[in-house]
Amino acid sequence: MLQRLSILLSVSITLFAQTSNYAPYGFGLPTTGASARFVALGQSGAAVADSISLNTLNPALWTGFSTTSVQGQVGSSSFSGTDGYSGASLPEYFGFSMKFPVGKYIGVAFGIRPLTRMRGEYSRVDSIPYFGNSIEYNTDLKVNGGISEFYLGGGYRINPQLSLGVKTGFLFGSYLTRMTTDIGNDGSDNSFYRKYAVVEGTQLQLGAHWISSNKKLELGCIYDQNLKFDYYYYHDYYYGDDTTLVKKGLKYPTTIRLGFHKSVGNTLAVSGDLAYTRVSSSLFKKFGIIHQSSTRNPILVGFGLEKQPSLLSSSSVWEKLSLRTGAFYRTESVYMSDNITETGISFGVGIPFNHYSSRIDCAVVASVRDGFLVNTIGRERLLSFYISVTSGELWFKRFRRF
Amino acid sequence: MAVGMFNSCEEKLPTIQNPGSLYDIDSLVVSADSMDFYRVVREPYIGTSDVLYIGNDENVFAYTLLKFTKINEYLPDAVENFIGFQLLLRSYHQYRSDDSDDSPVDINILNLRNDGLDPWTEDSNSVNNFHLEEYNVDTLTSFTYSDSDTVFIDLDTSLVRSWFDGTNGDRSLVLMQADTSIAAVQAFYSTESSYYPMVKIFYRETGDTVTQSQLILPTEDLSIIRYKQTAESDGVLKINSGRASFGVLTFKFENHLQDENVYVAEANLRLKIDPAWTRRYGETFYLYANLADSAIVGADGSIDSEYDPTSQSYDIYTPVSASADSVVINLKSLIQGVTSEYIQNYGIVIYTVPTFSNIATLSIYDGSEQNPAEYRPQLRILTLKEQ
Repeated sequence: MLQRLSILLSVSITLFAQTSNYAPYGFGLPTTGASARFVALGQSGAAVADSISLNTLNPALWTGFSTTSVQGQVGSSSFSGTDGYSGASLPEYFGFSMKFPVGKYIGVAFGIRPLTRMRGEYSRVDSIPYFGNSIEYNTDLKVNGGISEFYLGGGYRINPQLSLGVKTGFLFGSYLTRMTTDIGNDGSDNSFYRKYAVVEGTQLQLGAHWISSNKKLELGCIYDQNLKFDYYYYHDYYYGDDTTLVKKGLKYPTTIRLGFHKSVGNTLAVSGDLAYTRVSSSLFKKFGIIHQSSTRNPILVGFGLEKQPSLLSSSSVWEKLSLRTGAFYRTESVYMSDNITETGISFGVGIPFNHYSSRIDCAVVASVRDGFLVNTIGRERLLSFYISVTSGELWFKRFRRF
Repeated sequence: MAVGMFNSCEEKLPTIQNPGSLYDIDSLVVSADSMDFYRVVREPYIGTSDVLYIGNDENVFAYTLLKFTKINEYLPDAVENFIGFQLLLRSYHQYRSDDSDDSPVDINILNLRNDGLDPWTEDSNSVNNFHLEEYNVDTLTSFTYSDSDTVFIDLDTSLVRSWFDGTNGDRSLVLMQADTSIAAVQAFYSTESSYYPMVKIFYRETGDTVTQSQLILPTEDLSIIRYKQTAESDGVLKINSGRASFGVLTFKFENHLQDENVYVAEANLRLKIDPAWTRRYGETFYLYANLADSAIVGADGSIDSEYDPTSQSYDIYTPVSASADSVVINLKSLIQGVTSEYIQNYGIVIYTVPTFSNIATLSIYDGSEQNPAEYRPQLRILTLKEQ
């Protein structure tokens, strides 16, 4: 398994995430934060149990693991503007996770994943009046960064119908703004400037999962509460000493998410999620890498339909596949004269291997993002690809003696 | 899907929209009220000049000394007859302060007599400590200045004979303008240039009918330049190499520029030229500036009059064209260094070098209140600070 893990990590690093002209705002653009299975289900999954791949959304589902597994996600996203504005593309690594069964009712998992990503560049040639003359200058600006999370948690099945879970997330990340100035626009940089914004925090997530006695209906609930979130800036100027500013606290958003998962017939299941995040109105006035902005409380609505795989060994390849589709609508917390919204549809497939202990999940998402930049760049048409690979083995599984 | 995924692997970043102001931009004018000018005149050692000056105008009176030693070492002992003796000079330029055309000017060649004692060296003498009237001179010949390449001047062979046989130990020649009614300064290349002066000796050895020749360079050459206006003029700072006159300018701006992180995009010191005391002879004036340090500006603000700015390499070079009415010295690095606290602010030294024209003078208005406000120096600083 270690060999698989190393291959998975090396592949993940070389691959690529969501990119957008809205990325330089706020904390950056949120990543999906879920494996490709749930991306394909219209980003729904709070109540969707998965014994092979870790459901990173809800720790209450971290029970009943049949395997010890490691999984990783990568993705690539590109967009183009509807008004002919040039687009961009960006690969992203969505982290990895490991899960362990601890007995029949308990499971633990840990992992690392990106929460937000900010990338962008800008170039300006302009002049400054100088005592009757003008000084021409060229500025190149690049920003790169985001917040990531290392999480650790576990789930416990209280009774056959109810499970609870808790997850602690350690938030960390930095944003690097690099700026070079070429006075005279002669091709040589005369000054540079680097601003680092360093963030760190702690997040507590509580989850609950309920399944009906006939196993046809599942409900999930997640509450994400920030315990602490701090940031500070570090300025590195070409001249003079570097400056580190005092650490300040921020009120990081709080999210509540509800979901359901219902079997329809023998092989189909529908799922749906509704998430609501409460964001401090002054959050992005206090914390702004490039822009300062207002906020709005974002929502996510997502629905998915899945053809579940047959578990019979005599099944055909087609029957062993999971086929998924979904649709979603979400808004973002950044607000500048208008909301940022994204509406999309998704498709995906799950391919089990190694006797159902492992799986490859793929997802394709087509979406349209709209927002306050619509008059400049039009709407963003996005096409994103995601792959999750879960490799599991029966390491810590206890088997009953007959 | 995989194909699509890898197609999108070409990383292209989105463009940041409307990033707003990227800099705090500030401009600052340091007026003459925050500046101090110091005039320094030190001993001029212009023996390293490429050019020798001979002339007389309303600005200077100049003559040239040439020294030849050890003639015997360059000639065989068996010299019987000296057939000819020529002085070869390579013309450089005739300076006319009124911009008139070249005029024929007679120049006398004299033999400085001092009983065989050497009265001068190019490294130690100047107009301040060499006075020709203290010595006897013999007029040898005269020639008319020509702007045409090399000038050949025939001298009497008795002079080279007397140098050769030791009966005349005075081997210094003086070249001095004969007709002082014409305001002009003639210039010839010196031994420091590629077109050095020399004497050519034609001789025959005993029993030989073939005339041979030998070229001998002066061992030293020096212009003695006497400025006619040596009194300092209130309100102006005169810069020239012939008098070794230069200035030290200190300015205070630190109170107005306290952020060590700012980037100094421009910092120009504008100095206005006083045409009344400026003599550029139609040529570009080579102005240099060095960052002053504790070697010239004492802790009490006193200036070391023995300081020689030409003894170190220059920091800033500013050519001043013949028609310019002001000088702009780029002090960006100095202001940046002081602001960012890696240079101490002792001001600057403004000077020109001995290898530049020794008769030209650049006069600039200082910060005296008697000068119109627009004539006084100004230091104009433009700063950026990235946001």
